[in-house]
Amino acid sequence: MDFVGRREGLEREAGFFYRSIFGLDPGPLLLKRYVEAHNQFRFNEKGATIIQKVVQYKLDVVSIEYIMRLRDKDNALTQRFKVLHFLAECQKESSADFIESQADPFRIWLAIVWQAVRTVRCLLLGSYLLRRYDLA
Amino acid sequence: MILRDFIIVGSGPAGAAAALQLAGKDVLMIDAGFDAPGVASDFRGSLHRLRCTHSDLFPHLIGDRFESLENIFATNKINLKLKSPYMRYIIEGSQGVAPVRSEEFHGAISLAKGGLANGWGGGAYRFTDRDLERFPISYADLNKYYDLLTDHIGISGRNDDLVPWFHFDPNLQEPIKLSSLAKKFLQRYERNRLLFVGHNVYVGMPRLAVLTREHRGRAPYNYDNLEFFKSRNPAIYTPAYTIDRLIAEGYLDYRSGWLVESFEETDEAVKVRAKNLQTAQSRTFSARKLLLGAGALSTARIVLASRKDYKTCLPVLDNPMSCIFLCNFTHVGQELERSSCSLGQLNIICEGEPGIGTIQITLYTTSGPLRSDIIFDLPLPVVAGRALLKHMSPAILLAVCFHPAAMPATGSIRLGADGALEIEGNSTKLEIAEQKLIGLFRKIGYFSHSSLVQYLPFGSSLHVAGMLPMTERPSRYYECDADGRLGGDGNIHVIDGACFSSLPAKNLTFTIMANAMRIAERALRSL
Repeated sequence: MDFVGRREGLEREAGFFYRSIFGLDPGPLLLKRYVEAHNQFRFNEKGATIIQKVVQYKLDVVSIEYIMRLRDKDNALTQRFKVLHFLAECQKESSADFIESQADPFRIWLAIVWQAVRTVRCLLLGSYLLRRYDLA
Repeated sequence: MILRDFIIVGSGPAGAAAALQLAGKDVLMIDAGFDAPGVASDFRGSLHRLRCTHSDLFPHLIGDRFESLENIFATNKINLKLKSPYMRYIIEGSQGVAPVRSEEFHGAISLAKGGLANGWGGGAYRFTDRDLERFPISYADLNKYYDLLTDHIGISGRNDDLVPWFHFDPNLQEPIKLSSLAKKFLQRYERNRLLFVGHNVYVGMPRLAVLTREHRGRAPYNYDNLEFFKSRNPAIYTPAYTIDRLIAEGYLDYRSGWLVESFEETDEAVKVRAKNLQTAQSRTFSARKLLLGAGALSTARIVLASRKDYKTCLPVLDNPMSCIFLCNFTHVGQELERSSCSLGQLNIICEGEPGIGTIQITLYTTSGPLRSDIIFDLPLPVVAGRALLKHMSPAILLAVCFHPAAMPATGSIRLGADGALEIEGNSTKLEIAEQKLIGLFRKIGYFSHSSLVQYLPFGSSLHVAGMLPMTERPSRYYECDADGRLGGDGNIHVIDGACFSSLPAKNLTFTIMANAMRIAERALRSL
């Protein structure tokens, strides 16, 4: 793949992952750094095909990453998720995703219960998707 | 050839303390001496404020060379306190000129002025006679130097229930301000003291080399919570301050940019061979006495290289470590404290576990490191992990447990023929104490579960020692006498952690310094 093609592929991948994790589109600076990180580090290439499939079919990547991380904490997808998280955490617009700035126990307990339900969903859906699309 | 009275190798805690003791004498310090980088002017204020107001903290938290992301791809992870861009100088360059080969070892070597203590948590603990049981010295031998250092550095803390383990000290500054979560922990301990004491568990304030009021021109701690990202906070002591002061006052001839490779002892002098890190040229320095304080691993390397010994395996002691997440559910949903710190909040002593000995636990808040460093360790989908950490951070304390280590050591080092240190070792997983503590903490409303305990790999504590232990009567060259003299004879003195005979469950830095001063004074007398 040529340089431009590779960069566009990585930006597309980052955009899809970021939307799945944070629910919005990443800024151009974050995309640029995501691509640079790929030039700087050697990512686990064993999972490259899995990632292509996940992006191509727009699968529930959060559930898939969860199951893959439970099996191998250094898998290709988790590495990419980690990079995106670190890059996002440095930006002011993401600070609300990481830092609690309002005391509101009721809302927060509701959010925690919702995340517990979501975890069960991810566990089931992730296991199913891995089998269904032969991603293991 | 100029013959100096003393050559000190290294500017870490041992070198700085020895130089302080020998101030005004004919001393040459040889050091790699990498200095701290300048910090951008817009990276000031508290971490909380910076995160909420600074549009892009990437250059400060991750680094233009993506330094902070290296752990994602590395097998041997860099300590969280050493990985950010402004902290990387502490371990920078060591793998190039002083390589370590190991699959298990997660420690670090520093070539920085001030050594690894540029990134320490400031724990300044006196060893007790029980801690020194395996040493050929007692507390009485160190007491005077501890007092001198307390005056020199400025130590904060309190004479509380932990005095039997930390000693009474009338010169302590007031302790640091506790987070509300740690304060509540202490209050509940005080209300349930009998329960805790019944289990041989005691809680108190840590002794920290952190100023809470001005001391010798250094400002008190300002609760900016940047300990993971910025070194040289004037309130947090680093040996570099002592070195800088001694140089400024003309008490120390300091040569940076030199890496000591080996020494040779003759009847007239000790000749020290060093390599210039810029030009790669070698040069020999001479002195009547050599004080080796390059840091335990580097000191062992110099000693082995001087004898061209590529066969002997030396012991390595390291405090086994574990981390327990504790949650107080009544704090869930509270706002994150804006003015906090990443320094040790409380110390807990867990006495007398059979076969384990005394364990020391330090409680920390989780407000310091990046959330992304923790999220992926949680057994949750990433979105849930991030949300949980965000909502529960104000309710979470991290209990870091240090276990003691004694001979026979669980680790060993050998010098490879190519000059690399080969380190082997494993960290023993001791679960009994952690189980007991989880049960006890639950009774005062701080919850955890054994599945949430993390046992850290060998070397993670960065408390590495014991390669050339002091003994009453050294039986071989790789042991020291009570004066740190290698082989019990001659003019080579080991002054850093390499000469420790065991490792109690305490930060060893303060005792390295006191012992280095003691050895320096003894060496001066025998000059």
